[in-house]
Amino acid sequence: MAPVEAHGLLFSLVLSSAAWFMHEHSTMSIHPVSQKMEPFIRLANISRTYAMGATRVAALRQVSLTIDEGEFVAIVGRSGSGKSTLLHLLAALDQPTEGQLQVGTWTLGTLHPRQQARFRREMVGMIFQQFNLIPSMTALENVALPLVLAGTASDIRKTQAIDSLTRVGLRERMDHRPTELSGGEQQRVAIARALVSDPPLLLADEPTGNLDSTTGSQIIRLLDSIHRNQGRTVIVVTHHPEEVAAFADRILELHDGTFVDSSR
Amino acid sequence: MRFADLIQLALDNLRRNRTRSLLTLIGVMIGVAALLSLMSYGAGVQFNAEREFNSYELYNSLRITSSPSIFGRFSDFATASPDLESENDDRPSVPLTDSLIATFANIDGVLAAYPEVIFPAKLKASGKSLPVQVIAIPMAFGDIPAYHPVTGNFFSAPTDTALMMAPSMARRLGYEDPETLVGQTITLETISLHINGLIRAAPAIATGLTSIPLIHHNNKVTVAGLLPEDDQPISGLVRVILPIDFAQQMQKITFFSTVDLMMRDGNAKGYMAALVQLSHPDAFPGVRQQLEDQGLFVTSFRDQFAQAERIFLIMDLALGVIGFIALLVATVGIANTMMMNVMERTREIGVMKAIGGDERDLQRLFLVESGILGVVGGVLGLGLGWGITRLVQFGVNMYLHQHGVPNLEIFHIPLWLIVAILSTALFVSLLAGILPARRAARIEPIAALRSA
Repeated sequence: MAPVEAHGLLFSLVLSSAAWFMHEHSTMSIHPVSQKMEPFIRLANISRTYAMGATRVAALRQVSLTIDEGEFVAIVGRSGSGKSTLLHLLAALDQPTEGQLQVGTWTLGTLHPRQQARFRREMVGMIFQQFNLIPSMTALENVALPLVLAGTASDIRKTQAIDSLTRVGLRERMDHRPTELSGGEQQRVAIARALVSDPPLLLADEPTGNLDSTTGSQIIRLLDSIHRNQGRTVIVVTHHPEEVAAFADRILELHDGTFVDSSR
Repeated sequence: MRFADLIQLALDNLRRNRTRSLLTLIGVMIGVAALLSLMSYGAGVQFNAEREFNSYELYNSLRITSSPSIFGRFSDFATASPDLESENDDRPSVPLTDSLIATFANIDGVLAAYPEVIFPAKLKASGKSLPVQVIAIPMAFGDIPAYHPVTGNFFSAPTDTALMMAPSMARRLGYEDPETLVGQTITLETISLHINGLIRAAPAIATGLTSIPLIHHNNKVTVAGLLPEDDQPISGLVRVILPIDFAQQMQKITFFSTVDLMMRDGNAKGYMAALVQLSHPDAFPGVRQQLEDQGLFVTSFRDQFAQAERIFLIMDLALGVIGFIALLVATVGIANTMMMNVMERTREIGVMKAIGGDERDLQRLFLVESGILGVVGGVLGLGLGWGITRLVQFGVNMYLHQHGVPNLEIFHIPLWLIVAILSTALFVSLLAGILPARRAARIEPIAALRSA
């Protein structure tokens, strides 16, 4: 190899290493440095299409949206309107077909799977309709699981998990397995799990879908208190706008992959 | 994810499906036990041979012949490269006379040089008789521990009409307490050819109608001592040791088979072979050179043993392959179990990914689960294999004991074998886990969360 070529190679290596370092370290802080007027979440012309056999189905069409830090946003719409797709994009569980998606300092859509996982660990707490607790684990173990995945030391994660369960009022049930808990309790455990890593963004996909109306409204009130007391950004996807009407800062309605209305 | 957490999570997951994990473990245990039993058998054969080789200090022994040695040819055969040239060697042969052999002792590094005296005989005492192989040794062998009697004494002179044997030989002669035989006189029957009878019987011998006429000599011999049994578990069954001069003067025939006769040059004078015991293994090249310079042929037992070790290696490989196949079948069981685990836990994998688990963590989790099956199955399999080998050994030794034969270490389990088998079990279990682990890592979280 000629010396000039060798220098060129070395230079490009240094440059790429520096770029990698800056990228890795630019996303180190869990909470983004918020600047005034800078939205926490920004979706610009986001589309998501799926191939279903020979045909292509558009789940989201040219959706644009900004959400500020600390907002409580409800996304409503009928089945197939694209609500869950939008939530999955925000959680980096899915990638947009086109458009730009920014959450805090993270630019989603182009992340490597390992970076996506890291984004979810640091930025997002997820709550599901089916609760999705691991049946073989106790409530405490379920809540501590994100910290296990993040490599947190066992004594620290135990303290944090108990603290998180206490916040949802289930400290005394921490040694119970999901099958020994009611639906509402299971969802509260799921909320405790979503909160345990202290993420700035809480995403709830039909969190009341498997609960009776009384328990469902308790869960929504719990999410509201988390939003108000802890200043977290909460996005709830639901079939039932009336459930969240009293709490949400904004209610966005999706219809056939586009926003049709927004209130407040 | 921390490694300790990975192990804990993997153990919890395996416990969830106890029956399946247990059945898979049993498969691995059987595979490992089979591998251990077969390989420890091979190692046992080698171990016993090496023990005898070392106790007799054969690594210090040279066999000198006037013509190329039959042993040399056997070892060449073993390596599949027969030295056909030596068959037609037309160098004038140097007769191995007493005076020539005596000069070998003057070569630097030689402890003793003596004619090879080895012949078949029959040992008779208390109405029983045993076929034996008589080997003559020089007085210098009193320094070799394997020839130190555990009871009685080494020969006091080369002309002693005495013998030494292993305690098992005494037991087989009917002496339940072998020590009582020491100091007693027993009969060592040798045979020689009946020359006149041979001439008369020659036509019938040629057509196979009669046996060869022999003269039987009943030599009265004192049992000088009993040799340590542990050093010669196999050869002790047939071997009787005599002092060299006494053995030489006995009436006997000095061959065991017609092959011995066929290998001998009809015109050769002197002994068939001489044996040289070195004082130190390092003396070997120099002594060999000096002997070969005299036109003699030198075969080292060490070289022969190296050839034998190649045969052991082939045997070990063959046994290892059979055992490995058993382990491989168990590995397929691990792969199957892990595949089922991935399928059953699809939703759980989706959840773990949704709450921050990355592909590498999941891949490692399933690999660790697979590895645990391999290691735990490996350890338990080693225990099972050990138990099987002990049981077989106990049964065999009980049978041998009834026949007066000393205990044999049929299975030998050296540390390297344990480490090698455990490493193999771990390696193949990890191999079995690769495909399921990759499948788990590639599961799309959204699809997984939607699964029932």
